[in-house]
Amino acid sequence: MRTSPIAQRGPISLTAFLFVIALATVASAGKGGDDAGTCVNACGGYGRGNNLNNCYCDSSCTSYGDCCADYQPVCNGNTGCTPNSNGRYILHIGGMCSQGWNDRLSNKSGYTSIDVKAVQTNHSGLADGSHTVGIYLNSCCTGSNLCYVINYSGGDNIVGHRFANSSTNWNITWVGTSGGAGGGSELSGNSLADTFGPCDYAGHLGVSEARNSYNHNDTNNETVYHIGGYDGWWYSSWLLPGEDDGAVAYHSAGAITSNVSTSNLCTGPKFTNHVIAWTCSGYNLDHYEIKTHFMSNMGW
Amino acid sequence: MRARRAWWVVGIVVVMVVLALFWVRGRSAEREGATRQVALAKPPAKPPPPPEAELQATQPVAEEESAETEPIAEPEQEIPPQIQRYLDANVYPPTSGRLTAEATDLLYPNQRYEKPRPLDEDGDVTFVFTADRYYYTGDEVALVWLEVLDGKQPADVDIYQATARAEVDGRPGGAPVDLGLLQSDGGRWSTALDLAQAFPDHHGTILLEVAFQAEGGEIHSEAIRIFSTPVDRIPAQLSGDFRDSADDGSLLVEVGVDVREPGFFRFDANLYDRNGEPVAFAMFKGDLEPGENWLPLEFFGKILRDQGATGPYSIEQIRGYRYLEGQTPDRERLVDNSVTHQTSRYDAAVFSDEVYTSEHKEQMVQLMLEDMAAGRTLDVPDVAANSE
Repeated sequence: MRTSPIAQRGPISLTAFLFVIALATVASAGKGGDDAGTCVNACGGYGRGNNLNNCYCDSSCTSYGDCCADYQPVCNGNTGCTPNSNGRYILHIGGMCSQGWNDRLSNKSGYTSIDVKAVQTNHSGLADGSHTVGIYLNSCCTGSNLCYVINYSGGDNIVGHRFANSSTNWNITWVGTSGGAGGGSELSGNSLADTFGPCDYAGHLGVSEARNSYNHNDTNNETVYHIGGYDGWWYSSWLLPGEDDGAVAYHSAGAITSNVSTSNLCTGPKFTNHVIAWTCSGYNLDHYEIKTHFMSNMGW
Repeated sequence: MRARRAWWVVGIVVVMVVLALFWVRGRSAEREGATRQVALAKPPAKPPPPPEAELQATQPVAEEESAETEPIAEPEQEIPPQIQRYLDANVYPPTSGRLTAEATDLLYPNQRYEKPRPLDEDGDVTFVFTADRYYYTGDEVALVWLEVLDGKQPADVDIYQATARAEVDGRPGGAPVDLGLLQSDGGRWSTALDLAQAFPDHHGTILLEVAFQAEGGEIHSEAIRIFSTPVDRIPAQLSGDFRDSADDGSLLVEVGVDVREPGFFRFDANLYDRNGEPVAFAMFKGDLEPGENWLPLEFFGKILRDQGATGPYSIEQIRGYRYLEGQTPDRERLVDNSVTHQTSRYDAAVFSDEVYTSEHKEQMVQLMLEDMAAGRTLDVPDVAANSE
């Protein structure tokens, strides 16, 4: 066996590179992107993680304007919701490598839309994001409050992980998911996802890692509705089994219990309490475009 | 839930009393509409009836206060479809569900999902780089392999890199360990990675990387992860003790667990009937104290009835971990073992056919009714026709 260093990068490496760049462009916002700091377990000091945006979690960060994106919810419990106030909220949870929803929010009469500032970094995207989402759910969706939850891409994993590791029954009417990455992505298995690009967290969404990271059948009895897109990008689609949106295949967007190759979101058994909304054939949208489509379909 | 049957009985009695009052006092031609309906939808003091009964009970009471002498109509009130959708999704409790032969993720937990994939768009050469599981605990050895095929024959492969690296803070840390892949007669490159030796103190993910060239093509790099819980981080172990009973209409299986590190634990288990067919799953989520614990797993009675399952039952695939809130790695795993338990014989009739009820379920119905009363639409997505 030769042990020479890698001198070349093949076409799949290029694909993975473009994949992480593309996803980062879609999902990340705010200084630091995937390397942004988080206040989870860091309140009162310097942000945790790689923290390339040099953000802080102390009380003076608001004066300096250098707070980490999740400072208010994580350190102050400030989610924008009023607990137990007969409030009505729609929580929006963004995708991998993001620090928030970073897109238009839902507009539904009588409801207040909340941009969930869950930092998903390459440091510990799933655990940190899940922790922060728990703060929002406890604040916004208990007592006399009632919620809808809208998530996208890696937000699917964050919410699923939260459900699986909590015993609280939150007041959630249902969960809507666009381009869910809960089943993982075959594009994530290339080492470039870990060594290049601004979205290293994408490397942690391999199919085996994503599917083993939490019990997908545990939704605290909330129904999770899924939609998927089939406008895959030319440089990635041939790597993903079956139909895909360029980042995740239908087995993931469709919450199917195994990573089968399929062109029908309704094909194959679903995780418990997961269903497909509106159409089995999906939408002619890519992973960028599918993000807000659930809200659009709801008329929100 | 333990008082479920009693609540049903009392709920029915409450409805009957209300109906009796209704007959005595007559009824009104005017209705107070949704606002009144919501007010009456508040859960009664105790015990609360199930949501379905509650909805049925609201209308007669509303009519009671505006009595006139009109002909009596049946106090029918359809459950709004949005709420019915919620109720349909909550027939079983959150902690127990149906287990079918198609739920391969639950029947074969801790499995890998890598499949052969093409190296290029032509698809002539395929590869798979994988291991025998995702989680490893204590002194378990990881079996790792790379298989590259040209058609159905082993491809000519040059391997440039095959390493394992512990990950700290989400990124590789420490020196890479050579995997030492060796090719077998069948063409597969494989190794047995002794984690207790290679990474004795590491807790968390380990990045496995290969870079190889097949049939003179481009060098391809690929990475997968495994998760290791070293022996000194194992938080608990199954004692091997079990006890089971029919409890409040469900099958209660208690699993003996010796806890070393207290905290919030999650356990999952599967139940099979006497023919080995999958029937139900159950989970436990909660705090455990150090020492011996009886872990309660409740397999919901209606599932056993709906599945037509006959005992004695077999409890298998018991797995668990201590959850570390907000930390990475986020869990300490117990050893996956083959401990199983066969229950006593039960007559299926001892299990209840009643749907799940809970205060939270009641509250959700009430909140949704309040939304409707306040003029907020209860929006629910359409379900795709063939969605399972």
